[in-house]
Amino acid sequence: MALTRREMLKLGIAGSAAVALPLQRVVSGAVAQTRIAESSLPAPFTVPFAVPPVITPHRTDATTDYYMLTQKQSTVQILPGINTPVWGYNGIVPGPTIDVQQGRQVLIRQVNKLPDRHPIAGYQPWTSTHLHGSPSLPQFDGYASDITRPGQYKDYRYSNTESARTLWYHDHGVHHTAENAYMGLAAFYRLHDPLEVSLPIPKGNYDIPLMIHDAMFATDGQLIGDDHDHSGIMGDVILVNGRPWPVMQVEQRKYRFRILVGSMSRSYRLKLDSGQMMTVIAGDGGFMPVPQPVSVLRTGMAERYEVIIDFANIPIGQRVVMRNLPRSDSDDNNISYTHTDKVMAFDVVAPSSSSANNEIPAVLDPNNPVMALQPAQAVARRTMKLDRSKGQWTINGTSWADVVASGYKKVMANPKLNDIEIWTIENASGGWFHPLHIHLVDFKILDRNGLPPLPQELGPKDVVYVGENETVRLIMRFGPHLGKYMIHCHNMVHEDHDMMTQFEVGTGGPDPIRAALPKWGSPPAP
Amino acid sequence: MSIETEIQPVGSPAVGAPPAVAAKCSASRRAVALGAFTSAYAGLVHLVVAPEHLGHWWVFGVFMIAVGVGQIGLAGWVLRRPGTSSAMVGILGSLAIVAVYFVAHTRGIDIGPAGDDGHGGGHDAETAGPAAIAATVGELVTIGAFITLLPLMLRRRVVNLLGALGLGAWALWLLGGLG
Repeated sequence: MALTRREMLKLGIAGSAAVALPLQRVVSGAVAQTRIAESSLPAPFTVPFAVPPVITPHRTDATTDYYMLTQKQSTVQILPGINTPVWGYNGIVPGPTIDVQQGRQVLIRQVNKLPDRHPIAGYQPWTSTHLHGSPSLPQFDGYASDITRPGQYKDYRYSNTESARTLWYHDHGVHHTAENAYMGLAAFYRLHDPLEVSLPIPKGNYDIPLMIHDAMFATDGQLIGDDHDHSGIMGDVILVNGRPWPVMQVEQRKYRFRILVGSMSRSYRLKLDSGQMMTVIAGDGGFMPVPQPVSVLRTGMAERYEVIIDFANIPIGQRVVMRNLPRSDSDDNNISYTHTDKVMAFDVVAPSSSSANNEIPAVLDPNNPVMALQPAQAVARRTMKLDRSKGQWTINGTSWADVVASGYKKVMANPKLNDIEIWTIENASGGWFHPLHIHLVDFKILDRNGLPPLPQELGPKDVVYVGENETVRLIMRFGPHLGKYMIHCHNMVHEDHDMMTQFEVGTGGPDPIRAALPKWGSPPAP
Repeated sequence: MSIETEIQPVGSPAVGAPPAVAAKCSASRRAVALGAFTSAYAGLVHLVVAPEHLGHWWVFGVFMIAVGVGQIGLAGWVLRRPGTSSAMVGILGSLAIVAVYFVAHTRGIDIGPAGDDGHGGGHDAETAGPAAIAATVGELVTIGAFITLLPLMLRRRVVNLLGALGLGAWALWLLGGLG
């Protein structure tokens, strides 16, 4: 007997649910967001500059500082008068800055109270927190597949034995690092040591963090996260510490700026319109042996450069603009918009109120062990080829999917503890630039296309900018921990799709996923 | 009266049967043929995509092969022995596969090497691709065709159950339970 109308109705309800509900995720994800009009954006250099707040520990004891950070959604006005939902550590973007003294242990309880689904993309926002620049144990390193789901929390422990440097903590959750970080899960972490204290470089109010990233906004204030076929997320607004093209009031003296490119995919060529030099005093892994003045600072995603800018000779009332030069070559993968050539401005408003720590020493850290590494010490040489295959970004033809499929056993290299190796990073395809990040270690850049590294690269690094058709050689010592650590492109879109693999130092290190499992519930402060 | 006695073997209409009975037999034969065809079609789709799933994790690949072989086998069984048993197996089997599809493409299924121990990895809801949609449509048609082969009381219960499941799914979506 054929189906009756009533039966057809009931089966129609079931059938439509079965077909349409799975499809609505595709359809809603494909809905084009309308970019906010340029005329609605603030004019560059009209928004006051600000630095992220420094958070104090919830408690301390003889050895350890204890923090609790809650990853949660909040609504902020990044563009004046326009509400934008963001995800921040403690609900702020960038998250709170953590200041730590070398040798003090830190425990951070990371609580995931994000919504169950991303408002546009619809995925579940699991997170994994990476303290970038720290040689953390594997289970506290933000291993991509070591995820903490909404409703869970995890305690991360850091020993902070490394040298003074600018670190940052950011999300590293598998396949959604770019979206989570773009929503705001990124913040500074500054490690101080006696050498830094002894140097007469600008400190305190003259030690300024600058997290530079770009974003694009929809007419409803939401962030637009178009990744251009997994190539990159590009914004038309340049943000510094979460503010669009801000203007900072400065005194006639030297300032130390900790520059971090927090963009998902955009690189920068920073230059001051006054023609002044910026003096690089530190890289990702801490102080350079000697300062390196540069007129243009090329920097990619996740690289940190500390520069000193001297405003002493700038007349009061004059403005200095930090610009972002377009790249001169034809392979520029950054997408330019009207004001992406501007970053921020400095208005010189007063004479120096303090003459202390107003110098650039001739020598900074001549004894950094990383910079003492010599090629003759290397016990192995490896090559990492960066490429794209079947729509996925790969390293030596493999991706994180291969690591997952192997049950996390597949490794690209297996050096013994304290082995020294030379890695050659080849980006022969010319399709994109790739800032490659190697977890756990600091490295020294030996050469770039057979030539000496750029001046700003003459210090310890953990991210290397590998431009189109470039080959870079690195030397590093593997330690201080055993275990599995990631290697990946820090274009977070590439990382998510799926330019990430891993190496293992020795054998028998802690399991990055199971050694410290997250827990369910709303925890008290640690 | 069970359907085994209602349905004439395909290709052998009842000689001298009244027009109403003959029409009913003809409709049943069409339902058997349609359900068998769509089941076999969905099975072929699963076999075609099995290598891709094997590449992700061997268990996924084996599951796809088992589903594909099962659906093609079901088609043969229904054609050879049309009846309540084979129709119910077809309905419940197809419903189970549709349910897996539904969960995998709305909430995600957290199993496999990226989700061992219930932790680690992280499985997203998959994007519903053309092959998955094509197979699901085939399975829904299979269910609809085989329902017409059930005895009246059983048929009413199955249709009511499916309607309730559909309403539940829509309600879950409206309440935000599907993200």
